[in-house]
Amino acid sequence: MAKSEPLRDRVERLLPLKPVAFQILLSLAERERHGYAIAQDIARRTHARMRIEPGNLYRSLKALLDDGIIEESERRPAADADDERRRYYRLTPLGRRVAAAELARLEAVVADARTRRWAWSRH
Amino acid sequence: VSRLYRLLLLCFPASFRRRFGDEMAGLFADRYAAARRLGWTAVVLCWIRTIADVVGHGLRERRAVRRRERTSLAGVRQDVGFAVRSLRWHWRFHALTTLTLGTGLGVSAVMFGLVDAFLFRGMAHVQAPERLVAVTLPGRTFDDYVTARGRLRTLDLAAYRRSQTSLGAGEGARTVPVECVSANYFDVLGTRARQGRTFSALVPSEASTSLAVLSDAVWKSQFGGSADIIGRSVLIGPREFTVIGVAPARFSGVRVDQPDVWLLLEAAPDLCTPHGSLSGGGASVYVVGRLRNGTAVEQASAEVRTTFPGADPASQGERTALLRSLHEARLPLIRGDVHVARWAAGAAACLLFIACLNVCGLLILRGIDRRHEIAVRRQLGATPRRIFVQLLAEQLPMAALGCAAGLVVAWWTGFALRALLPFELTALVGHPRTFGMLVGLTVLAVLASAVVPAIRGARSDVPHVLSAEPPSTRRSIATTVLLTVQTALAFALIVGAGLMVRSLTNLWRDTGYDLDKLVLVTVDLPAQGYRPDEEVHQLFERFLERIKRVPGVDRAALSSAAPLGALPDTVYVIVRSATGGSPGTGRPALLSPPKLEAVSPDYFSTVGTRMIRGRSFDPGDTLAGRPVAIVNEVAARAIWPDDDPVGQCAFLSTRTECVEIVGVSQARRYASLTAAVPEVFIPLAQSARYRFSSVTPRSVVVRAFESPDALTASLTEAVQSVASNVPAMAVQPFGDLAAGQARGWRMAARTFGLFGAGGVLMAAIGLYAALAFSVRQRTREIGLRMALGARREDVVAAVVLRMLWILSSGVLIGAGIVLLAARFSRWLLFGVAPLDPAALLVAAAILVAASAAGAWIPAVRAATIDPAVALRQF
Repeated sequence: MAKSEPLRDRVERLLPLKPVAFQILLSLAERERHGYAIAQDIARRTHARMRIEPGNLYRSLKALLDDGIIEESERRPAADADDERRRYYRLTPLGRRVAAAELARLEAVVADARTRRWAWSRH
Repeated sequence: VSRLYRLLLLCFPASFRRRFGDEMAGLFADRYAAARRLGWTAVVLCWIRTIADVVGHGLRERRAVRRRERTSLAGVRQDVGFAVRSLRWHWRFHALTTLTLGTGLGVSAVMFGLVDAFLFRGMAHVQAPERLVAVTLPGRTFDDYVTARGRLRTLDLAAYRRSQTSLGAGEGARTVPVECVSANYFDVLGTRARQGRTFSALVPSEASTSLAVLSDAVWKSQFGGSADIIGRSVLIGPREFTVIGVAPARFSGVRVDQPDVWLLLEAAPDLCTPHGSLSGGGASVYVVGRLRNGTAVEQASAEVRTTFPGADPASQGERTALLRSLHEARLPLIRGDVHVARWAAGAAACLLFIACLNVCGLLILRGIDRRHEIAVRRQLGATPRRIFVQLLAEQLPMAALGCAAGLVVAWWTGFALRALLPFELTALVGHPRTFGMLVGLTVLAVLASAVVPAIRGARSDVPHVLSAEPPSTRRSIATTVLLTVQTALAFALIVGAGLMVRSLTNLWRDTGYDLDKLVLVTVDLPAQGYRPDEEVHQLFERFLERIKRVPGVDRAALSSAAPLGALPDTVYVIVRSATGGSPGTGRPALLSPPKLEAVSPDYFSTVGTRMIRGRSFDPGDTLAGRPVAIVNEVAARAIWPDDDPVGQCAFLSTRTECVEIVGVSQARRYASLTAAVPEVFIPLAQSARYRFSSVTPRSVVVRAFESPDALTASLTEAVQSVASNVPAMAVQPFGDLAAGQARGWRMAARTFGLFGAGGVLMAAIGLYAALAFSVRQRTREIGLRMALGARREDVVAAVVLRMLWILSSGVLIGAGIVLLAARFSRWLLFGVAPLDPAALLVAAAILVAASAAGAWIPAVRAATIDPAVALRQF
């Protein structure tokens, strides 16, 4: 590759992810989805606690595309289920690394939080 | 609802909308439908959320895009900086491109400025020229003007008439163009004096007094621009005139050529009209009108037509009253110059095009040279688009320098042209429109010459270039095409110059005068108030006697006219054949009545006009003798198409006395150099018999032994020694008069020649660069060939063959261009075919010589390649 920056540095530079971006990555972790499906998936997983508006969703998608974390997929589902306008997105290898790194970061945060004594819960 | 959402989406940048707009609208529609099922509070909440979302994210996205653009602009700034630094490293290359572009730009800007000045620019110091119209009245007389002025309600009319008279007396006297105007002329044009006043605020008692307004040029040249000129008396013609004002600089009324003096038409009819009187049909005037407030041209036109109903427009032709825009009316006066200026602008555009092609070719070659650098940049992550922008941005310094060079060239060209133009050109180069044109042309030229090389550079194939492979030896087709087109255009330009020169020599040869031997002395006494004809006759006889005694004078003769525009008025006369043939009665009609000229006996031998049949006038043709006349070929052919004119009897005008035709003279040019007019000559001694006006002697034609230029001073002295009080006269070599007539061709020949030379030079430079480059690139190949036994001649032949290929195809295409252009410029070609062999051969020879010069160094370099050294490059 022409990019001279080591992969690890690039991943580090992209962290931490915004919550919306992380949710999008989670949605794309299992399979390729289009924007509308991503929104529905997020709503389903968060029990509608996280409602993501179109402007926010697509701006985040664009930012992820620009950073090379996700990419548009050429593959399409069966013709009858497909809508011409819809684009499908999937994680890039970089995207998987970023998602994993973000997960590790969050886990570290949670682990750290569990070691604390929480003043209001004990007494 | 979805339309409303689309409106909201305008918050996002267009590119974002194009990419995601449809999907976003789809998602929103779904959300909205869900909200409607839940009731109106949900709908309101949905709208609030949507607006906050779209506006907030849209504006943030816009800000992000702007930030990205700013960083890429910083890149352009970097590129320009790089280019400015590279100016120092490759200064020879840049000097060449700057000079080439600057030359093309400069001459084009001036030529377009010239066409602009002729055709489109308003009249100097005239207020709202678009509200002015030219009015042609049925009789074109002053009386008509007075009638029209009293009757027309839609127009303010003014009258003017051009004439010539003398300014000053004795040594410093000279003949000047005069514009005689009605008192309100300056008012109608809206022109104010630069010093003093115009005729506009005359007290009634002044209306018939001798007042004059001087031109700015005369005020400066004759009176040193002195401040106390107002109120001074100046000798104009035979009388003293009081100067009341100085017109603003460059004011030329509604015409293009500038008069030097303005007089009141009614106060000086003796100087303004040939017969000294305004009434009757003797003096035609031009009428200019200003549309009164709120009047449209159509309204005024209708009023003029109803006030002067022509009997029948078809049969009356020009006799009907007519109203035209001033622009339209002005055009015929300057048609010749406009033609030439248009062609010169075309030639300049050709030169600019050659310059662009040349620079384009140089940039392509340089781009091949820089392939390595560009490939490295691409490897470092620069996109093709980024490289394209970089290569274009690098040309910005070239544009700026080229524009500056263009200004210098424009200034210089304007200076060189000034002598050839009928009016002052001072404002041409500095004019904002010309400058705007220059800047516009620069942008176009740089785009034209830099886009293709930039695209090629950006597209170049990375792995191939970086590998150790030798650079491709495939000759660049693009370069060959560029060189061929350049050569073709340069060829067309020099052929054009050749054709102009040939036309010019033809014009010079076929005049019917010995141009290089003759001097014309005009002393227009009637225009200066000398009235009784006998007095004028006697005075001229004395001039003639005295002039004949001037050393260096071969012969001299008198005439009542003067050719090539030296005297303004000529008399035309209808000639009828006594045997019944007359124009318009079954016989081939004359297009115009013949010009009448009364001459002294030696006239024909003096001017060098040959007699084709019969005899010339002799001293025996006296007042008491039989009335005789001579017609020229043109008149003879029209009046007696089948018979021999000599010995025929003719009637002049309405007179019933038979005049015998004693000779036929050679056709010659009179008013213009391009066409011979019908002429009829009568002996001066018999002119009193006819009592035609204006057949009194007005000029002396002098034939010199040697150069006519040396005679002018002694001729002036001779005339003044006879009559010291002669206010002014003009002593002009015939060559100068003809040169004035040939100005158009001369200008065309000079511009085509100059531009052709520039084009050839550029083509040669382009050829040199291309050949030298290809030899350098093929050094190794040539070395290999020589090592394998190729002789030096073969190597040189390869270079020369390529040159010949380019040259021959260029010449062929160039000849095609000439043929095509000639179809639109028959007017300029005089007695020469568009594919004139001489012009073609000379042009081809010049081109071959220039190309040979361009190919010389590369050929020599190719021949002296040392195989051992070249092969070591492997």
